Amino acid sequence: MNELIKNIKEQVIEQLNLEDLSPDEISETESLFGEGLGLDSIDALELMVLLEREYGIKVENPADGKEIFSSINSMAEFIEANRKK
Amino acid sequence: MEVQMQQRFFINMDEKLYISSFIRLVDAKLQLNEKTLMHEDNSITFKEISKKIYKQFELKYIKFFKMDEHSKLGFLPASILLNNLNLDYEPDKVAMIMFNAESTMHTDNNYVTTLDTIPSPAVFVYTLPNIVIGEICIKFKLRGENTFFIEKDFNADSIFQMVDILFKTSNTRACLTGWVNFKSQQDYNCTLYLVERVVEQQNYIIFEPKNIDKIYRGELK
Repeated sequence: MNELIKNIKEQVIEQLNLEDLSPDEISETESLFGEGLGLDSIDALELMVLLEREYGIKVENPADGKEIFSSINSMAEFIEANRKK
Repeated sequence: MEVQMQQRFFINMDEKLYISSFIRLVDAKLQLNEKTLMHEDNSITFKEISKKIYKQFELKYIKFFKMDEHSKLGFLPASILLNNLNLDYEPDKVAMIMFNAESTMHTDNNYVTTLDTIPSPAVFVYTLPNIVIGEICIKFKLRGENTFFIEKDFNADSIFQMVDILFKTSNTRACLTGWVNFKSQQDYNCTLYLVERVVEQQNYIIFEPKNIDKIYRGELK
């Protein structure tokens, strides 16, 4: 799980062009949207692209994104349970 | 008609349009008014110099690294110019009119390459030239009139006419205008002018096509 979390952080930084952040600066429990990393709705779409490309997971209902992307930990749990690659 | 306009927008006849400040980012050189702020070797890419400017001038903006090259090209000089001033106008009285020839062709091409796999929403949102104006508005909380025109080439007359009309037909007190044209990592030009309607001041430059052109060509130091 720790390896997966490390990979997710690196992929989020690359996918969202968060060049001024390092993986260590992203908390596993902190909210990704709003006060946390300050991501927006376009970033949510990019995270869905990331799930599909890296893990073969297609999020059928965009409304589920709110829970899936609430933190790095919640992303990792969702990926672990649904990954196809 | 002239009288009606004066009454409607309370034009003070002693006031005229002046370029109170200008900034250029061309050929790896960043110049604010007569002062060179940065001058790198011509081999530096735009990606590299834009990051360097962002860090050096501590332009903290959460979306900076997500922007496309076109938006960065306009955002960086505009931020430095506006940070250098104390504009004391209401947010809805500061306008922006920008121009270029390339629109966002560089970003459009980047987006097309993502169509081979999964299209990128983050790239797609920057495939409009006026997005750069939105970024500057968000950063500086400006709410004035704004628009972005595409021209075949740099055209000082167009810039003059559009800005002149804007001041004559609205309550605009200041307008950030100019040319934001990104063609490639080595071929880009941002020349921005802050135009204000004020009573004559000694250091200000008269806002007219001749001076707009001179600044664009780097001939007005």
